[in-house]
Amino acid sequence: MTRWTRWAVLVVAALLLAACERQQPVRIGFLAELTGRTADLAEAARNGVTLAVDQFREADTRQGRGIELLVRDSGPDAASARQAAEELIQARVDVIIGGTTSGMVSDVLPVVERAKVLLISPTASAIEFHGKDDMLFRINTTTRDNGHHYAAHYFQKGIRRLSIAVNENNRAFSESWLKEFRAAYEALGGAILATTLFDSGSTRHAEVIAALLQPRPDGLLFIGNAVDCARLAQQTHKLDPQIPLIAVEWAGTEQLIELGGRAVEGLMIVQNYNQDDSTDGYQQFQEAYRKRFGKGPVFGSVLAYDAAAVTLAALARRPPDMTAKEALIKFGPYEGLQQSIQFDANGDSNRSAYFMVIRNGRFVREP
Amino acid sequence: MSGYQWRLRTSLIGLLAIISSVTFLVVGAVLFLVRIPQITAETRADLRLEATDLAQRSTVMLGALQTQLELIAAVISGAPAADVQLALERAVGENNAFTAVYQIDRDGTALRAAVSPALGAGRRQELIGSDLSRDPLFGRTHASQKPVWGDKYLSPVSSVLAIGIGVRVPVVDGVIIGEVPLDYILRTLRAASGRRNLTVWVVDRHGEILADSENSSRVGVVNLAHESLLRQASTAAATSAPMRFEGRDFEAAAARSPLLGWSFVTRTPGGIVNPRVASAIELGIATVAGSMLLGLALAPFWAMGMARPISAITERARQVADGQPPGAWPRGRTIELNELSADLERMATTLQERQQELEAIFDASPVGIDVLDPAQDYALIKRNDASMGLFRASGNPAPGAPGPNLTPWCDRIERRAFYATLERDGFARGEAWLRQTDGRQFLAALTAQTFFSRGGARAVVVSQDITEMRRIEAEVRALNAELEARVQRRTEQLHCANAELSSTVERLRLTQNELVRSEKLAALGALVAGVAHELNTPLGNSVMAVSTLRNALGAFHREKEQGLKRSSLDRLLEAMETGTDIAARNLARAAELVASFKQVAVDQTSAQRRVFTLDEVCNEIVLTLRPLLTRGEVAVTLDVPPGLRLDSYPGALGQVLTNLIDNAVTHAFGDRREARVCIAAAENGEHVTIRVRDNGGGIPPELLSRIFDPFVTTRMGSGGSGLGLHITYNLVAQALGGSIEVDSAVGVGTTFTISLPRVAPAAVNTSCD
Repeated sequence: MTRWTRWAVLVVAALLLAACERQQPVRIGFLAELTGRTADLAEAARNGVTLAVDQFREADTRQGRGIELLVRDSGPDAASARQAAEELIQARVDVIIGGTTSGMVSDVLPVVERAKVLLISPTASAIEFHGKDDMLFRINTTTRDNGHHYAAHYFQKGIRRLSIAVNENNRAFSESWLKEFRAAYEALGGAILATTLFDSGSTRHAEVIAALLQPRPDGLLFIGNAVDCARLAQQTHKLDPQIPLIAVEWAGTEQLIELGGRAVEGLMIVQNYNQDDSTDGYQQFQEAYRKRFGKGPVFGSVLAYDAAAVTLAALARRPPDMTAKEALIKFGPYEGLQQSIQFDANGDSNRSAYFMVIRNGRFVREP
Repeated sequence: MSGYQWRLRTSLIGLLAIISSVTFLVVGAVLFLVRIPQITAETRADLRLEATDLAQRSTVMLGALQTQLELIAAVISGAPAADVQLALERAVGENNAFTAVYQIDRDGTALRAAVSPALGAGRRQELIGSDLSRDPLFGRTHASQKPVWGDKYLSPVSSVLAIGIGVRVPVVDGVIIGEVPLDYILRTLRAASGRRNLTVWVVDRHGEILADSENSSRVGVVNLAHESLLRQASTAAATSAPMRFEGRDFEAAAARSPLLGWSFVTRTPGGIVNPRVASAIELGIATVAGSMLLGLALAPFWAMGMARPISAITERARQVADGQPPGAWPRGRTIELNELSADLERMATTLQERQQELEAIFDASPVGIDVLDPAQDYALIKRNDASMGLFRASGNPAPGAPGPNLTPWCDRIERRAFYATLERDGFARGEAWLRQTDGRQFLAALTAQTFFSRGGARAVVVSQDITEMRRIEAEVRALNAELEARVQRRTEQLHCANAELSSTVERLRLTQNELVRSEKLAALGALVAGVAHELNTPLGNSVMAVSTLRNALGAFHREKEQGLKRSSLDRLLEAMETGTDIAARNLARAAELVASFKQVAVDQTSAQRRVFTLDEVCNEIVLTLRPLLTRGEVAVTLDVPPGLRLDSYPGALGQVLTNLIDNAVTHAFGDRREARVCIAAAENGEHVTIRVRDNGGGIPPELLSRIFDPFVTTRMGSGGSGLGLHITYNLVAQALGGSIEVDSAVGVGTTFTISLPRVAPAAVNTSCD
């Protein structure tokens, strides 16, 4: 073969290669409220997914097919959330991981149902999603389970009379949570003295707290996100620094501590992951997360990481003619960061509950 | 020729298309291998430059905010509380850079705050007194001597994503924090980039996008920490690298602002969607496609120009193929085509000549040649004159005329078989009865062969009327058969004749022997007769003398009775004397004769070899033949020198001489007078030559050559056996070992010349019988 022939062959091969489409990668969509009031949780979840994707990319289980992560902000309202979901569907994602709040999941569920694209929510827990054979898979436990955990645990700790602040922006979650909690708590003999709805954007949190403290409860329960809870805790701290505070699992991010400062010291919260986990696997994850994002993981990160890892593992093993939904159910159980994950036929799974308290600016397990 | 075939025009267009494609490939290759890497390198350099420039400008512009807070911090150090609040309010109100500015005391409690009026007064109230000791920015600023730019975070004041700038207040050991919404960063970015249409990201140290000039929805959404470009940017001043984002390739450059700790990423679509690459490719494609289109547009005309002379040549060739006169062969400007045209013309001429030659052969052929079409049941296509004559046809039929009628076979089965063989083998030979147009049948010898021509398969059938030939052959065969029978018969007859002859020859031999024996007996008879004749005289004389004596004696006796008288006695004595003398002499003579005959008889019967003198034998022979000679009145003269001695067979020689003399006496003289036979001998060295000459009538010339053959005689039926000379010849040649010649002239005489060796060869078979 002469040099010229070799050149010609190279040229033709190069042109042919250039002409060829890249092999379709696995496309994972991520959708969450990255810019709104729950951006902290959404960012934590995104980081978890990002880390999982990065680690899978490095392992390259798809023989070079590659994994593409498309991140979208659900925006300020239901319409923007749906639009973002449509965008991801048009980008032909295999699976959408997202919906860090139950409200947003409710918003986009019709869209994914129509497009038959699987939505895997790391954190949504409203009981209304439970037990339905739809395109929604959930990693988190339900509000019912958590409501029961909260009711039993804190009733037992002697908090028998509670006043509750309820976020009205994520009613799908907060009302569901409240309903389940109330049922369990009152069944135990607990009393809910006052419930007040609040808007996250409102500047009247001090008034809310004043109203809740008025019937002199044994403690305050905040159903809201981290910023809500931090702000409410700040106001509570100004009015009654001693009263025990309980926050729902939704609030369990770093931001609760950063924004809550001393006001959240002693705040009790149930988490669906073990923040004190000292196993190698979790420590490595935590290390990698911190190195990558400059902060520690929170429950949203862990659940989202699990959601992404589970999804990628299932897709990697999926034969061409199998849907993502079938694959996720078929190839379980999956080994999550802290527990085994198994989806039932409706795409529901379960998580353990860990009772935490903030001590010295850190979440620690209750003694 | 197999596979696809193209028209010249198409193939020329194809050629052009291929050339264009190759050009396209080459240009494409050059573009991809040389130009695009160049453009990419240039693009990267530009991006680096722009990123660096943008980082510097933004740093300057955002640095102003830091300066503002530093001023407030300075104010706090010495000014009354109201002034401080005023300064805070002013910072928030002035240019909307800050949504909130608040002072935190050393234990983390918010002391004073100013918030954007859009957020409402309640926020300010809520903020004051809040514990922010766990705020990371507070922590970092408090621990640092220098102002700190925080990461993107969810502001508890504005509940939106913002950037916090923390400045330490040295005197009171507090911290001033200003919150800048991300929108402001974007506005700054746009201002800094001026009118340049750049796509820019501002990325914080954790990879979070703070501003995106292209799509603001990515702000706070996308994390780029894993991009190698940003990892490099954190160490080097400005770096560039290709990157892939959301399924698209980019060329990107990042420059880091040391003050802000942020990276400024400029990017432009990479690969072929890069505007400069795309424009280079478009230009390349446009150029090549343009020239290709132009070429394609011109190609048909060029191709037509090229194809026209070829079409003309093709047309001529087609005419030649169809047997039409092709007319003048075209000549154009293309040398090769002219050569082709000339060659074809030459070929056409040759073809025509060849065809004419073939046609002449076809027509002149003495045998009938038919060209048939196998596809149409061997319908006749063409036939030559001989074939027409053969079938008594009036002319060539219309093409496709049905075969069976034109070469009518008497037997259809034969016909089918013949053509089946032809189809199978491509060749057939046979004989068949065919019918002429007038109904007459004839036997034809057929030879057929198939060949392929333009019109498909053809069969050539050569037919020849062999009816007459076959008839003659049959006759010849019959004759031959008969001849053989006759030969057989004759052979048998010959065998019989041969057998008869053989027996005849045998009989003849027996007869010959018989004859020889009878001849010998005759000779012996003659001898005996001669002897008797010779003895007759002396014996008669003796008898007469004795009878005279007896008479004298009788007379004496009677006289004595009368008395004895002297005279009677004297007369008796005289008569006795004379009579005994006569008797004695004649008896002596008889005895001599008997002795002589005895010798001859012994010689002749015993075939004894001995030494003898020639004259002696000759005399004895003449003596024994005297009666014959006397009767024939033939005078024999001997001229034999005395004392000529021979050691040979005197019997055989005597017989030879006897035969020759007898032959002369018998044949030569007839009624002639003075018949003479002369026997002369002469010594001739070791040989003796004996001549027996007569003066007879001679031997007729026609007889002369056969004179020594057996049964040759002029007197057949009148006593001659015809064996005399034959025996003579045999005796001379075999017994005596000599030779005998004859010389004769009619009317003059005959001379036999015998040449004998003086000593006869030994062990000679003397038998001649």
